[in-house]
Amino acid sequence: MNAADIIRIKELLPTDMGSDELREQFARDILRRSIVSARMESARYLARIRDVCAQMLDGRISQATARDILGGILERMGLSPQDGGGIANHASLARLNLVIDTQTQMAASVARLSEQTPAVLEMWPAWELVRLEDRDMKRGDWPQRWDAAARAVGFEGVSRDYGRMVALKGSPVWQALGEGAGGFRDTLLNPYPPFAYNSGMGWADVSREECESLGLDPAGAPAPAAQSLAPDREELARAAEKWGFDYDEIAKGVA
Amino acid sequence: MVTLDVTARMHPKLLGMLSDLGPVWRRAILGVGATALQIEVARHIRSESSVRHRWASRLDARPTGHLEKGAARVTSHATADRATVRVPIAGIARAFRDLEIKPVNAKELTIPVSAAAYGHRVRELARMGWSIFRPKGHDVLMGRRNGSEAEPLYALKKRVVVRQDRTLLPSDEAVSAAINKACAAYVKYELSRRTA
Repeated sequence: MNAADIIRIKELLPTDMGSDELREQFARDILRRSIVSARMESARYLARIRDVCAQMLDGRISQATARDILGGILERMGLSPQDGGGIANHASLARLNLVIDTQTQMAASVARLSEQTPAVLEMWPAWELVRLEDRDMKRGDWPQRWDAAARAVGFEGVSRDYGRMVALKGSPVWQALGEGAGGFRDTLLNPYPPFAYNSGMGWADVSREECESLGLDPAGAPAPAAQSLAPDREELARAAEKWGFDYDEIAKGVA
Repeated sequence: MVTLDVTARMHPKLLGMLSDLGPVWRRAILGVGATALQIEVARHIRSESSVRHRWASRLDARPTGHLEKGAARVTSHATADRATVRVPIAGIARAFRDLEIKPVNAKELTIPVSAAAYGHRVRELARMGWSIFRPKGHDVLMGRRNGSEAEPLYALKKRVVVRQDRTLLPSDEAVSAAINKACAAYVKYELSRRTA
């Protein structure tokens, strides 16, 4: 499945919650496979985000056109970039770029994960976290984030070369990084880029030979978990476990 | 967007081997070729993006990151029968041919001629508070904001031809080398495991 199709199957999640509340109230799988934007309750607008991002990933429109389309809808909703409010303003340039960048980066990452066959993993067993896109305001704390994530997973599948951020593709460090191990609250909870809001950091494949020189042993390492954006039984199972599902108890009905 | 076909640049011996292999090996080899091409294409575009800010520099504008972002979204896909790499960048087809650009939902194209207009559509600037107007008899859009002096924002054109620029994507030789080197290395590696 290509990145544009991955966007197209996403569900819409209108909400009046802020990003912190979203993190607390929704399972990460639901956020992962949804088009969601903090404090955006218009399903119509979210559908248009889905549409323009898919068109961008098909190479049919540029980001400026995508922003223009979304800005037009927001204008009809009474929102303007002149209202101030910075990134909290849906119509601001920064917010529009953030929404588009995040959705298209996520879809491209899921598409890449879906192509990690055993043969590809034999040839490029690891990823390196590198800067792929420039940003005006760059986070300077990626080494600290990386170190915290690596420690959280006991350096499982993580290179001890401290000058670089390299780990096997199946290492749990990617999930830990996405969950903000070390107390970072600006992450997106995903085991793939973007690992934090408005981040320009992404994956570069690392060859088997380079892994060996970095002291990484890919033999027997787990493959990265496939990232499905379709609802699966795991979601049902997690909800059942969370709420203590008991057939006999529920089937009796409520007194 | 362009879609690059991996098998189009594969060595005849590899293609011959593929024809004799079952679907599992075919997908494995094609997947390696596709990933190798995806890495090469992304690397090449990233490299090119760092030196292609001529228009932005001339206007003293901030680059939009159009190529750089596109490079980060290059993906590959392989089945047992086909392997492709998608380059999701609007206008990237000019690596292979001249592109004639005509207005779609307007009478004229708007070519930014100021830093303020670069990377923005006209309506977006208007929403940002610019008052935009066309002086009678001139093929230009002027604008002012917050009572400032009016300045030219966009030149208006009926059509623009963007000349082919093959260097936007890696050369055929580089593509071929990336695909065949990776596939050959993979086959060699698997054969060494068989005899080990």
